[in-house]
Formats: sequence, structure tokens, C-alpha cells
Amino acid sequence: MKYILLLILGLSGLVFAEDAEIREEVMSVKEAVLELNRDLYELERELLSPATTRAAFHLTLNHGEFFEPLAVEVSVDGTLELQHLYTERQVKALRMGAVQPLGDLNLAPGKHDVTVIIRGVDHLGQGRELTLTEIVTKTGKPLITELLIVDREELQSARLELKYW
Amino acid sequence: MRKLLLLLLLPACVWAADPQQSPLSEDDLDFDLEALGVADNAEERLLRGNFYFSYLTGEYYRTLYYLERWQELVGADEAPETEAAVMRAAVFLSLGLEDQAEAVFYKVFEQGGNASGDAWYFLAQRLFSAGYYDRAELAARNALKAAPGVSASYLQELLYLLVSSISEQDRVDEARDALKGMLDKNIWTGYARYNLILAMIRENYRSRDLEAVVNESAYYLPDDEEGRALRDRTLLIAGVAAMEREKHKMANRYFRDISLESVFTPPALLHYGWNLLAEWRYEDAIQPWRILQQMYDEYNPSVVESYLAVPHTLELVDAVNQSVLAYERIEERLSVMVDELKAVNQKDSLGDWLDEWRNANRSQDWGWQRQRLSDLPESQISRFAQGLLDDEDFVRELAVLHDLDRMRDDLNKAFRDLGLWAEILEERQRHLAELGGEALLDKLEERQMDVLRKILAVQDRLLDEDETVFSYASVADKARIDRLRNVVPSVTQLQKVGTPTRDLSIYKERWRRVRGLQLWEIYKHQPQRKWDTERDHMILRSETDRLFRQLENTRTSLSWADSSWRGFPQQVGAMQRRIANADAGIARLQDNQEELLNQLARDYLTGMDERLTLYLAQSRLALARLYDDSLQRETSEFDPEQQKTAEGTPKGTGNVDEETGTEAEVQYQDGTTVETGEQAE
Repeated sequence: MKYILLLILGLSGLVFAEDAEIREEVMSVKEAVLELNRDLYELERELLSPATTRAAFHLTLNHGEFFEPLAVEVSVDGTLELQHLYTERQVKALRMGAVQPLGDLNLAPGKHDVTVIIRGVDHLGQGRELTLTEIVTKTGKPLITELLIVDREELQSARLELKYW
Repeated sequence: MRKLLLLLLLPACVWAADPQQSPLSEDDLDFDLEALGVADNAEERLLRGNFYFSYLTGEYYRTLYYLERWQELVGADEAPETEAAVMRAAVFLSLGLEDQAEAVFYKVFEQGGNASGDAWYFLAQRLFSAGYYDRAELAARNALKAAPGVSASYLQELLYLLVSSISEQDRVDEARDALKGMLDKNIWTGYARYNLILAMIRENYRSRDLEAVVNESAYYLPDDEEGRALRDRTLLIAGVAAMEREKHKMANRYFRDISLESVFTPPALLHYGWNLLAEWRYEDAIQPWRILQQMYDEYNPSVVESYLAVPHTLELVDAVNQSVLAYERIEERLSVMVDELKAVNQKDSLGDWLDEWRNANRSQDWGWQRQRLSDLPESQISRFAQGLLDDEDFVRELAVLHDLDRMRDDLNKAFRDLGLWAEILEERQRHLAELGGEALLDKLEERQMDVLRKILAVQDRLLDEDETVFSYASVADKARIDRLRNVVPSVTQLQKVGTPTRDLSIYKERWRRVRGLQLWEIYKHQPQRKWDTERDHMILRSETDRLFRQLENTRTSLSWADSSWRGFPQQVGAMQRRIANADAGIARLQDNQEELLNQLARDYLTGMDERLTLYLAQSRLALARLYDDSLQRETSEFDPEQQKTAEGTPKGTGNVDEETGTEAEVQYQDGTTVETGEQAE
């Protein structure tokens, strides 16, 4: 009886060891795939927009009490370059202070006309549109831009600003 | 018997109630990244915001990418480092990388430092889901005392995590103290109370206290679908616990209060019947089992168990004929079920069953998203394997298989994408070479210089124009001036050959008048014409300057383009090799996992087969015994000696112990054994 018990214990120990090994192997594969995906994302970003021509567009929502974005369009020099439709989850993330990476564009050095149209609803549920046209200058360094939706409490509305570095 | 029943139920209730995350609300506005106290520059701020955005929207590859970029940018600054480490641990846990998360988690605690309440909250949430209750408790406590604190909308969930983490560690008094900080009517409080009740049951806590928490929980839960389901779940475990403590009346009250519309109804009806049986209320005990059999699928484990419970009870009330009929029906039904089970318990059919589920979940991501995986397809196998589908280990292994499937899909897609990138790179390099960019630019530059020279000539002309009498005269003006000039020789000729009677003064006067008018006309338009010409000239100059800059930029772009593509084909090739290696590794694991799941399902169905066969044997044995009893009773009417023997034969449905001649136990589908005959009473 004692030997049978020992055998059972030994076998169960073997099974646990095998389970742990498989689990560890799956974990390490997951980690490898994760790293691979991260590197792929970086490589694709470099391929799509090299640092010298890159213009990165971001969108932030300052409180967002008087405006909720539904869609955004960014045109550069009259050509529609970026557009995005928002999910509820993304709007909530923006409201929590997160910054949306809208996308990267390739721009030649020099001045460019940037036109942004953001469609959404105000705090009363009415459709609203925020528009902005500005000239930005691209140098040899990557251009970083931030589209900022700011509440104007005194007017119970919002306005759109563009900052770039 | 009751102890065994409780043991049967408890594993199903052992895992903590971990409801889906509630939707965020407007209160989330007070989550303020700026309040972290980190003096970021714009790029740091945007990167940190990108990192949170990708985390909050569930894009974890990007989350890690932004996190790495952010850390590179901020360097060794302590505060963001801790914040990043906490969030990295949360991301790892979200992706099911518990070991990596654990390493990060310990590092954070060893080093100390500050992180926001929300970062700790995210970590606590993931740690609790992964079953690291002690660490979840620490993270929840950190979230509560962090500055900036946790968002208002997360507070109740955070307190739930704290109470539940403490409850899971069986520290009931502390959990009850922590529970006091929660809002009574919030659903999270309901889940926290549920986990507290489980801990109280495990710790064999005082009945009065347990009853108070159960009543409180049932009273405050919201009257919606989620609240009602949680109420049923709470009452079920409370009822079973009361059964275990032989408080049958209380148990009856709990079981009666459970609705007939939730997933907890079948076990509740089954246990209600057993509880009534324990009170010797045999006829009443049959009612819940009848309802159970009418309302639920015959393959449900509770229903199968109730099949044998009914005739057993009938036998206890001496309804022998009804008992025999019931046993016969069960024997017939179980025979069919055993045959069906043997037919489906094959490697190929189980493989198809798994494949159908894998295909149904193709659109789901891996990692955290796997919580949304669908149920296994409705089929005969699923009906038999209902218990297996509730088994945490099996579900976890299924999730691993799904993760491996999706990872392979991801890798294959990435491999294809990289192939396309390699083609594009080749195409662009060829195009660049064919373009002859340098030569083309030289030509364009020459043309631009020609244009510039012409513009300079125009500029010279404009300078000269100011010096002329008829400056900025139009073409028509010039034509008229020419005509006037042509008239002068004619008048002079007429004067030479003229007679005394010919008076030329009129012509001269007219010529002078016309000349004056013409000059007036020219001088009148001269300022406007001069202005227009100079403006056009300036526009032309700026246009040529712009062209020149454009040419220079194009030259720069050309040199960048050439340098930008260098090294990329090699990088793409290296990445493709990495993908191929990873894919081979995952394919091997995938095969192993498939085999493991198939084996688990086969083992379960084989166990089920054995159990059903045992039920079948027991029902046949009971039938044989009942017929035998009947026969002996008939014969004993004629033989006084045999009559005495027949009176000594015990009743029951179980196996007859060969040595003692008394009944043994009936073993039911889910491992429960029930004492039969007089002993059960």
C-alpha cells in the first residue's frame, strides 16, 4: 500500500512538473511574440515614416464637458491624410487624460497647410463641428503636433487648438 | 452525505466572484494625468498619454512600445519609473504573463516610489484576476493611499478588490471591517459580500453572523439581472452551508428564495430536495426534483442525479410499484445515454468539436481579450461534458490553445506583411535608381536658373522704365504714340511744300492736343500700372524663390530617401527569420495543447461513461432487489421461516455489502455519495 501511495505521489509530482514546464514554455513564447510584435510595430513605423520626414499627430481632450468627438479628419496641403472614427472606449480614455496617437505622416521640409475638422456632439447632444486651419513648418527633425480640444466654460462650448514642436 | 454535498458544491464556488468591469462614467473626469507631479516636457507628456490611451483601449503591443519610448525619454526620473513599472506589471498580467508581472511587481515593492492611485488600481485588478490575492491586497491598499488618488468611478471596485483579496486569504474580521467603507446598494458591495460569505463558510464562522451577512446581501442587491443572479448564487451557497450545519429550516428558506430562472436553479432544486429528504419529508422532496427534471436538460448533472434520487425516495415511502416503474424508466434512459456517450467519446469527434470552437473564436484576440471567448458549440459532446466546461483547468487550457492559435495567426499575418514590405523596398529602390534623381535635379536647377535670369532681366527693364517718358504705357498707348510720331514727318513735309494759303496751324494744334491727351491718358494710368507690375514682379520673385527652396528640399529628400531605405531589407529579413522560428515553436506547442485538451475531454467522458454505467448498474441492481423482495414476500406468505428472513432485508437503492448483507452507498455523477436506506434518515 505504501509503495502504491509513493508511486501515486511520484506520478502526480511528474504531472505537476510537466504542467509547469508547458506553462513556462507557453509564457516564454508569449513573451517572445510580444517582443516580436513590439519590434514589428517599431519597424513598420520606421518604414512608413522615417524620422526625417515624420510628422506625428496627437489628439487630446481637456475635460470634454462641452464636446465629445465622434470623428476627426486631418488634411495637409488640401489632401485628406488622416481620419478616425471614435469608439466609446476611446472617448472615455481621452476624457481620462490619455493622448490619442492619431497617426504619422510623411512631410517634406517647409511650410504646410494643416486643416483639421472634428465632428462631434456638445453637452446638449447637438451636432457640432470644430475646425482649424494653420500653417506648420516642418524641419529636418520629426514634427510633433497636438490637437487640443479645450472647453470654454464661459461660452459653454469648446474650441480646437493646434500646438506643434 | 451533507458533508460530501458541501464539498461537491464548494469547488464550484471557490473562485472568487469576479464580475466584468463596469462601464466607466462621467466621474472619470477626475483622472488627471497632470496631477502625477511629473514635470514633463511636451514629448514626454504626449508619450505618457499615448501609453495610457493604448492601455485603456486594450492595445497592449503599443502600450509596451510607448512605455519603452517614454522610459527612454524620461531616463532615471524616479516617479515615472515607478508609475511605468506598475503599469507594465498590469500589462503583463493582462496578457497572461504572470511570471514577468511578478518580477516587476517585486521590483516595485523593493524600490518603493510613487505611482498614481489608478495605476495601482489597474494592477490590483489584474493581480486579483490572476489569483494573487496577497499582492492584490497590497496593490489595493497602495491605490487607496496614493496621491493622486484613485478615480471616483473606480473606488467601489477597488474596495471590492480589497475586501475580496482579504476574504480569499480567510481573514474574515479584517474583510468585514474593510466592507464597512463600501456603499450598501452598490453591485460591487454585493460581490464583496459574496466572497466574504465564502470565506466565512470556509472558516466555519458563527451561524448568526453568517446569516446576518447573507440577509444583508440579499436585501441590498439591485433588482436587475446581474443583481438577481448574484442573489441566487449567494442564497445557494448559504443554503448548502446551512444544510451542512443541519439548519434545515434555514436552508429550505434560502433554497425557496432562489429564482427559477438562473444558472443556479438546477443545483438549488437538487439540494432543496436532499434537504427535505434529510428532514424526512419524503413526498415534499420529490417535488423539486420533478420540477428540475421538467425544466432542465436531461444531461444536466443535477438532473441525472435527481433521476436516481426520485425512485430512491419513493422506495423510502414504500411506494414500491412506483419506484420500480421509475427505475425501469431510468434504466432505459441510462442505457441510451451510455450508448450515445460511447459513440461521441472518440478522438476524431472530440477533435472536430474543439475545431468548431476554435473557428468560432477566430475573431478574438489573445491575452486579456480571451475572457470574451465563446462557449463550446452546442452538441451532444457539450451536453455530456457540461461539468468539464465548468472546470477551471479545462477552460484555462482551452484559453491557452486559443492564445496559441491567435499568436500563430498574428505571426503568419506579420510574415505576409513583411514579405510585402520586402517587395515594396525592392520596388522603391529600383524606382529610385531608375529615376536618376541627381541628374533630374541638375536639369531642373538649370531650368530654374534660366527662369531666374529672365526675371532679373525683367527687373532691369522695370528700373529703366522709370526713366522713360512714356513709362508703363500700354501696347495701345504705344501704338497711338507711334501713330502720332508718324504724323510729324507728314506735317513737316506739308510745311516745306506748302503755299501761303495753306494754314498748317490747325493740324499742329490738333496734333498737340492729341499728344497732350495721350500723355494725360498714360500718366493717369501710370501709378496703377507701375504698382501692378511691381506686385506681379514680386510675386514672380517669391514664386521662383519657393521653387528654389522646393528644389533644395527635393534634393534633401532624395538623399534622405536613399539613406532611409538602406538597411531596411536586412531588418525585414531578420524579422522574417525571427517570426519563422517563433512560429515553429508555437506550432509544436499548439499540437501538444490540442492533444492535451483532447485527452482531458476523453478522460472526462470516460469518467462520465463509468459513472453512468455505475448508475445503470445500480438502477438494475435496485430493480433486481425490488423484484426479489417482492418474490420473497410472496413466497413468505406461504413459508413462515422465509417471511422472517424477508423482514430482515434492508431497503435501498445502493450496492449490497457482500460481507454484512447491508446496503452500501450510491455514488452520484459529480462524486457525491449518498447513504441509502434507513441510514440516510
